[in-house]
Amino acid sequence: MKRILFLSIAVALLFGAQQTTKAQLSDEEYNYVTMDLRGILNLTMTTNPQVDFTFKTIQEYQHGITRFNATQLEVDATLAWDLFVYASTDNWIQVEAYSTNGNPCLPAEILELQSSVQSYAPENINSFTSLKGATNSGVAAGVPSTDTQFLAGAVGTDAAANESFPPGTAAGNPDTHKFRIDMRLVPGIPAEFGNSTIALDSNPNPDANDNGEAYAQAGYYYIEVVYSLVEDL
Amino acid sequence: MKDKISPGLILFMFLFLLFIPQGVKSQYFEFELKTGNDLNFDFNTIDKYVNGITILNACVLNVRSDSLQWDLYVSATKSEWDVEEEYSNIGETPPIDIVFLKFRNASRTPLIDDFFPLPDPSNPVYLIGSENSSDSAIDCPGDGTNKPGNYLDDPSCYKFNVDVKIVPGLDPVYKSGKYTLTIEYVLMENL
Repeated sequence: MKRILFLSIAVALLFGAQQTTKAQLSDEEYNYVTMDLRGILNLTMTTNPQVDFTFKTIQEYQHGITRFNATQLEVDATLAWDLFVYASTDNWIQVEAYSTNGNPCLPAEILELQSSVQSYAPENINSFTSLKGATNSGVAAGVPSTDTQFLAGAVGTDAAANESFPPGTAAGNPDTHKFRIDMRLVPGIPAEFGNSTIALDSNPNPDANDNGEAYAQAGYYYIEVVYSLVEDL
Repeated sequence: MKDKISPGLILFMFLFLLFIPQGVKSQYFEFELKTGNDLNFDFNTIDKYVNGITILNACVLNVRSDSLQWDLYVSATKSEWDVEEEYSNIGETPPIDIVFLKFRNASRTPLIDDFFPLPDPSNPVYLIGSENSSDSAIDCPGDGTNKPGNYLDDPSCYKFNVDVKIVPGLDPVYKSGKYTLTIEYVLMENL
């Protein structure tokens, strides 16, 4: 009986001792975090998309009309990016003719653009430069080429060679991510648009209305200017 | 005669049953995570990149330590993100310290009461207690309350709301893609 009693006490004490000599207790919980970093490119035009030029005086024909800050663009990007510009057509679209004299086919190049941000691409609009038409711009299916006029970046991906502009916001980087585009048209008299890189009487991409005349027909015209923001690839 | 139960056996059973419940009772040392385990951060606007996304009350941690002084610390389980998918080949892989945590409770007992970057596993951040085994015992509602207690009786000191924030920013550029990591919360007996 005593033996059983001692055995019981020994077992009980052993059990109790196990409670005090066990390993350090711990408990864990977990959060599983998923982060989806999407590539974002935002191009915002903060000005009216329509820019009007109305030539109604001799002075306006001779000296032209310049619209400073005609268009303001802002770029917000999480990726390295390029920005380029081109006309969506080779020639202006004539809506209405006011005369039967002159050439109704005006090349896109009569419109001159100038950007406030310096571009390092070989083709640029750092100073007033003829806007390239669709064919001359070298843009094919939305993809630029070395002939394309870049406002930022260039063909290639070498950031050190300024072939791309870095990610950032327009608010945080106004010198490189905000663009003020000036526009100018100088018809002259007669309206031959002497600053244009393509003369009216030698248009390499004429439309069906081209009559070979060297000066513009009085009328109402429009053209669409495309600003394209793309990831630098 | 053979069916008679020995008094010694009865005593043995008595002592055995006496100690077993005590042993079980002393092990109320646990941690509960309420709310879901999965946290999804979807950065699909510039504003979210710049200002970050904050998930308030991403999780609630309930502590129950009936008899032991305790520590609470947190870290990532790995020192870098797991890359599930890359959408771009430009940029860097993001570090884990763009993840920020904030522990809150009604008595403000956590030792860090603002957002802090998620540490890697080798440098966990202690919200309660420290790496030392000689932490002094602190009663609720003191800063760093680590005395035994539980969230049912004293939620102001033993219940923690955790906010999680991620701020990728735009400088430097991180590769667009889908990333995952695991945050580990550890409740440890302070010996």
